[in-house]
Amino acid sequence: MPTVTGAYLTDYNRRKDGSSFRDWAVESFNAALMMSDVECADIDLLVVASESDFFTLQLNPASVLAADLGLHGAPTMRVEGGGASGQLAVHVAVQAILSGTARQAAVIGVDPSASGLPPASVKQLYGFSFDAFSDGITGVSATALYALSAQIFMAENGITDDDLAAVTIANRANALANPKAHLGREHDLTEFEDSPMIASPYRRLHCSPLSDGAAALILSADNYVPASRKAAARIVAIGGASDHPRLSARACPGNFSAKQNAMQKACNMAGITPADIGLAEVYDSYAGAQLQAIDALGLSPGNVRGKGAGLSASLRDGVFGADGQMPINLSGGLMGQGAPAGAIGVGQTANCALFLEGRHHSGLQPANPPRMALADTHGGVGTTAAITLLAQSGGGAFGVC
Amino acid sequence: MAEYSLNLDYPMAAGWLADFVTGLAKGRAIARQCSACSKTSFPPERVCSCGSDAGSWQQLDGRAQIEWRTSGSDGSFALVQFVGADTRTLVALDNVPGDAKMVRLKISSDALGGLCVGAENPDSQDAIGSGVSSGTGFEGSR
Repeated sequence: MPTVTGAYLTDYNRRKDGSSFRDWAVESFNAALMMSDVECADIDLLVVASESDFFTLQLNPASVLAADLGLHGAPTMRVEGGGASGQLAVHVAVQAILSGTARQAAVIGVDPSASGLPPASVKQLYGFSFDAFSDGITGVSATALYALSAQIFMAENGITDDDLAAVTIANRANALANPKAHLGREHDLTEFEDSPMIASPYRRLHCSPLSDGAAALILSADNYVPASRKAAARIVAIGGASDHPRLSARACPGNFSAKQNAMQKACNMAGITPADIGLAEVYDSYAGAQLQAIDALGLSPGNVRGKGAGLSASLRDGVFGADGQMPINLSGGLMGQGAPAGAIGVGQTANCALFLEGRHHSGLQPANPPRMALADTHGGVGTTAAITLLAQSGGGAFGVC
Repeated sequence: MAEYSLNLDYPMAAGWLADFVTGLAKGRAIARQCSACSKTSFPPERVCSCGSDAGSWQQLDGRAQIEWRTSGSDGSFALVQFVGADTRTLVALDNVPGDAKMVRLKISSDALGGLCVGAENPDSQDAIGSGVSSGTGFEGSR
């Protein structure tokens, strides 16, 4: 399995300096390459994640980025799967290394989600990212679809509005320790009542922002890891699954079943259980989505799926905090660190690798990093699920290591 | 910084969904009934959850029960169950009172012509049956 020899995230924010998504991609690639100790000429695959041509007005973005990066002649491709694009790009690179067609793969996720199209246009486009001929033509927004799913989950699992607020409060507080985060903030419960209602139960404070930014990884095959990077974190498993794109067609619209299936596949591949994971970057596009993800991933100790009293109690007890049993979104997550669409999954995996290696830029870097970490991403309302498990270089006890 | 304006006109060919889409434009709920298990899906599923792709088109009577609804600055939407359908449907709510339970499909005033429901006239609630009018001439399979 590949070693993450290089990992880097640019600032996630709203750019006002006239820089382009291509500049951010170059910044992230150059920094990851330097960390990796791999020669640029040895990169034999470039995988780019960018969610939509509409954001960049650049079809085939991998071709222009390859030129900008000096990757002349390397095979290039773009991978897209909605919000999961970045993690799917990681999976494509892992599969290329496992197949032997690549030895040193670069993965770049990038999107100008904040400073590109006006927010209203982004919202309209996202409405068509579900089934355009049924959900799309109702004029529904992503927030409204997520809200309906969250309502069902909350009713079935005893989740309250205060629980939703607790997710935002925790992630934005974590982001305060992350100098590259978009929305490090201190919030308290009283602010939520005044936050505009977007789609009940979701108020603006329950929603992740649109951000600009890029993230990059250099993945090296086993026999091609530079000597200086032997201690770097490794990817030990990937898992993917899908659910029906229409929430209305699912038997349990409140559950992220595809995520549960993807997690099971990843755990089987690594030969572990969720209890072996010590840190997770979870796809918190909305506050409730984080709780739905924790449930589907089996990350809440004592929680019985479908009877989520354990989940709510774990949230209140600080289980998912920096000092808790299962720290989640120490980076701030989408809610706090930010959400440049194509970069999200690449950045989550970069965060995990950096945390495991003990060199994350966040003030929340654990003094004693756990052995394993999880990067969880999805597109749609939990429709396209992509899970990546990482371990410290010494994690040889795990199945495929 | 250069700014570009790009106007795109999409010819949205409905393909296999033509009966469903043209039905909506006339305020009709055209569903798909599976030949193998009789499950009725609305919006229509090309391949039933039982695995069969054989089925027929059936017109529902257009009434639906609200199961979950959301509202806010993004508009009002609901997951509903159309009478005669075995699947839920996402719909836009057009001036539906907050306490309404039953709604009826209507022709959308939106340019997209999508799934939209309005309040059900209480006078018409006395005829809740199967909700399916069979033999509508929409027979066929993939």
